Amino acid sequence: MSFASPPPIPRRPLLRPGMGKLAPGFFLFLCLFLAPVLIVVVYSLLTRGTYGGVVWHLDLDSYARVLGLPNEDELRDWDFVYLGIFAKSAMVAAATAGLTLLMAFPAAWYIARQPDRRKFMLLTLVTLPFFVNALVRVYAWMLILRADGLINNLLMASGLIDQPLHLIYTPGAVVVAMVYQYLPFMVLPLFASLEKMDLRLLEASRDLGASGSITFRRVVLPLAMPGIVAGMVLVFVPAFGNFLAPTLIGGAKDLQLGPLLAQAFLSARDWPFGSAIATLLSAVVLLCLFVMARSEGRQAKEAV
Amino acid sequence: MMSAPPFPAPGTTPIVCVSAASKSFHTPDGRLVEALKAVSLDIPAGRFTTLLGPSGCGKTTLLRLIGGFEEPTGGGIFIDGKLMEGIPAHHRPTNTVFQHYGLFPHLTVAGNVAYGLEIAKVPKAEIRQRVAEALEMVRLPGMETRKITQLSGGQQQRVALARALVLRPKILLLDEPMAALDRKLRKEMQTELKRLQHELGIAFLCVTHDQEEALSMSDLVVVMNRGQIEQQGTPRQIYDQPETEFVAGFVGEISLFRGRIVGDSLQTEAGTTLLIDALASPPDQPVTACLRPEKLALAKPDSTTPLLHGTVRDATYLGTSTRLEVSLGNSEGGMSDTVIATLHGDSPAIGQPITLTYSPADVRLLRHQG
Repeated sequence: MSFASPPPIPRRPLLRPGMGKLAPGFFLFLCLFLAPVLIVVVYSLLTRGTYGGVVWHLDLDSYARVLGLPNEDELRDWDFVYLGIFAKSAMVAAATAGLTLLMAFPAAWYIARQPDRRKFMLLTLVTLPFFVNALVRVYAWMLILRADGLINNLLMASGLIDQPLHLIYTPGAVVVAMVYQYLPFMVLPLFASLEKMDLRLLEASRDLGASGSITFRRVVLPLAMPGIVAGMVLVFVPAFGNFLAPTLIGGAKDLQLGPLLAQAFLSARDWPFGSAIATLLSAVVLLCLFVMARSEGRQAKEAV
Repeated sequence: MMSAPPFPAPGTTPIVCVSAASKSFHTPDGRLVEALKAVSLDIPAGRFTTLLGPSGCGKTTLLRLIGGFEEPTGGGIFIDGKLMEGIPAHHRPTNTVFQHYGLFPHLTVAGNVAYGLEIAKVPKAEIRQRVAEALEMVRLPGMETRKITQLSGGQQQRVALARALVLRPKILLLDEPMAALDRKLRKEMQTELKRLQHELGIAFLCVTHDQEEALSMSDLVVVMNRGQIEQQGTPRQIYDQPETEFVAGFVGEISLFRGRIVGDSLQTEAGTTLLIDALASPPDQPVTACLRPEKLALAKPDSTTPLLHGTVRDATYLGTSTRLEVSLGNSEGGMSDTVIATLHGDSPAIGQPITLTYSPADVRLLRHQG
């Protein structure tokens, strides 16, 4: 028996009736998102002004500096310090996303299995930190992590340590604060995936000889994958360019992208350089979103 | 009372032996519900056994105990002579076709059928061959690369069957396998299941609430009610020789007569006299007798068999036969018994008098329940 492949779906025209309803949203998007991005991209290609601002003269040197290319005019050799900051920020963001996933998965699993009313209450609790200003939340972590903070005081009082641990002003501190900040972004999409999952499939898997861990790997994980991918992107993207946490509790030695950007604009007054960093950051983020869209598209196609 | 030889034949070793298994649940509001009350049952190897009963009778609970999805709160389950206590579902030689099929939506047809084989670490080439054979067996050859979501309900069920049978279980458990199929497809699958069971020689244990399904597929029917076994036997035994009122009423249509034994007949309160063949009950005891509709016929003028006189109260044309509800005795007020008869050919119209005849051998006395 053979089955003919379905006829190709004709490509729909870009403009269709009823799209006028999109106009207000599209206009806002144009003014508040696309235009600023365009300005940033254009600035990144110009020459810096002496006291900030830009001189309208095409200059790709900002990108060369970010990428660490040598420049003989400015007596610059290969220098990967900025790429290093990119890499370090990416690692911190990835660690944040990974830890968030590990913490959010059991929570989302638990919430998804509760009766409806309890579900709603627990989800509200998960989103509760959103009601507190982000700055306040990072300050709270300063109080907890600093040398005479909560953790060190408790550990010293219990006699486990004599000297306060060096907790604050480390990449680890930044990760902890960001995990706290972004946990809801992971719990919510995971919850959406896990709630949809048919629990009876777990029983079917057991019936076919799979232990609990095999069932988790071969049934639960694949079915939760859309939620995992969405959650990872939702955490990784803002963590990558996060400003508050690395500025307030990150170490001075471990400069990250967010603070670097702020420095470029505010201290160094090098707008094209800052714009180049911002553009590259956006490019990385867009790449992430593209990967997510691709994988979701594939999932959707498989689900048809 | 003539009784057919016991089934299964003595000496046959059962593949599953349920020994005084009980199961109680706590409901969310704290009540204790006894789903199974010390049920004992031998399920013969290589035969088609059906657990038949209304919803909530404990049949699915019993199936889940055998499959290892629940542990009994009392008694034990033996599969192939081995006590299954503490052995989880994935270590039992059973496989299940679920009512909801439980197919993995992220895998293809082949992925689903191969699932158990891959976990059992069967070599790849062998997996491919066995998957193809299994799909052939359920009449879905060449469907390997299809998505589960592209299949119809009937096809999904066949995949679920293939997925369970490809592992060659000692016993295949089927939990209301036909519930989600339409009538025509259900008939087709009944024949198909019977054929598969016959070809493979694996014991099938099927749970259903559909008596027609149970009678048409099974070698052994186990009728359950309220967490207990009411009766077990071949379909013919269950249908022709129901032992309890519940079995008589649940399996097929039947007319019941409550009364007392007087001589060689049963006298009902409404005044119907029913000749009986067997004198199992002592006189003057309250008894219940039953008579299948198709055992009644229109009396001919020269009938020598006992007669029942009455009035047609309702008639339903069923194609091959007509179902009549007949009020016995004089219908002018007062009490009267009702008998149901299915007649072939012409039958009197509603309101007409009718004389029916039966053989005393077909009147069956039922065991009285507490």
